[in-house]
Amino acid sequence: MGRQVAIASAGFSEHSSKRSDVNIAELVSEAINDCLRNAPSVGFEDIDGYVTGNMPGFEGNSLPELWMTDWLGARNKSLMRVTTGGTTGGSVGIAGYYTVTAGLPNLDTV
Amino acid sequence: MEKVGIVGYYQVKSYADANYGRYEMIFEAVRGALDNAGLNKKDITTAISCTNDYYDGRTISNCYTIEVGGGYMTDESKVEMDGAHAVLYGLMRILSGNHKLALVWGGSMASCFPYHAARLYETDPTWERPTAYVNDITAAGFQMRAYMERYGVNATDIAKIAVKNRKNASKNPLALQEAQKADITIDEVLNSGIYADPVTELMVAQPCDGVAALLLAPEKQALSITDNPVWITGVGYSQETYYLGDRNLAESKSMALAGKMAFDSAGIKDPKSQIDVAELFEAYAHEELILSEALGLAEKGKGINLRSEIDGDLPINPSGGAIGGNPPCGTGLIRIIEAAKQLKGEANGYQVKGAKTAIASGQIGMCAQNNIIYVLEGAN
Repeated sequence: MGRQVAIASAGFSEHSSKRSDVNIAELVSEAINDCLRNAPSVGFEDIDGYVTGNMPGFEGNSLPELWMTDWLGARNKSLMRVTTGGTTGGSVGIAGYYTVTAGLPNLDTV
Repeated sequence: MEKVGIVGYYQVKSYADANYGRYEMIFEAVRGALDNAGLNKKDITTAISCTNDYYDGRTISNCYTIEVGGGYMTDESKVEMDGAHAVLYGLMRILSGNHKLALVWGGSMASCFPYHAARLYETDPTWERPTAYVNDITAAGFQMRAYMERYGVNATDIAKIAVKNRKNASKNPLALQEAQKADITIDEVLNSGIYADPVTELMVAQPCDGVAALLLAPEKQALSITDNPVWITGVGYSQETYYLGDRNLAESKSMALAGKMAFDSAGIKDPKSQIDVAELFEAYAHEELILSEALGLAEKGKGINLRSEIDGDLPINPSGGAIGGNPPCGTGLIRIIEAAKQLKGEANGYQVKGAKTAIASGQIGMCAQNNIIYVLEGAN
């Protein structure tokens, strides 16, 4: 049976109508770094796995989690990606919950 | 982890140019899996699909598959990777205790889109895509060359894997007809036209049309549905870095990490002696060697010495593997179904005798950047 799951931290990229100074991978890394800044006791080494989500058709990349690996910090980590259109953001949160609650071995922080 | 039961499955036969509409094919797979388990659509509590918007030619492509894909009024989501990753999400949903029956399906119709052109959208958009020098085919050439040079393996050795899998495919009625070659020779493989030197055409798992579906249930429900479920006892998945120059292409780091995670959770200490049959997603013949070595089934560079025929010491891809039919987004899911068939004794014509423990894998990315592997055990 599933275990309890807590949201330990959250982060955002800098938002504006057009960010011409970064590409998509760099934008994602801003949010991840902010998320880690907001949880000072957690570092990249504490992250066991990743759940990502985006709509590849909107941004011109297929399977973008692959070339973004190092911007995510996901090298040699478990990773799953969901896509459900405009609801992708919510679906990622749900998939994160399921990843932790499932209790797969060594997959505690995603 | 707690074990989860596979209680039903169905694979639509692979075709190079299927006489189906896409949604007919999905419907046949989903209905087939339900019939296989003796269940109805209303029994499904969650549905996970696997397609790729670039392969389907439309964004949010799962909007159009809800009804035929068993997702109507259920807790539905989509994993856009390999079908084996969609099974992972279905498995997590069952393990959460929130769901009693998860439907997972995946596949696509490669006859309707230019597969290798679509895969160019996977490449680094700034530095690689404009020139297209790095793509899924050239990457496979680098990978095979790296493996051969590192371990002193020659192309003839690798052609033997293509020969084995195409001979095995000829015994599997659901395999791609064009892949089924009972009398194929090593020379035929080597002379079949260069894809990206040294990879030749018959070493490639050709993309084709196909859909497969699977039903997962918690232990208690699984035993009430069938006397003979197949248990998922372990899963592992990992992803290595993207840039080919940063990777050792002669090995698979992601499969080594995925294998460790899966074997730890299934309590497998010595994969080589404890596993009876393997179904590995080899996008190219040489990947079967690299992946099986990463899993510890053979020493590095010695995979070719493994007796992996159907009647060998450790049969690999008795169904013909991905070379026997590679419907994008369905291939890894089909590996799981083929492994389950072996454990249930349903692999007519290519059954491995006495198979009790099996592994099945899926992958995405150039040179199998992301790998996922399952350990399955038979009920009897």
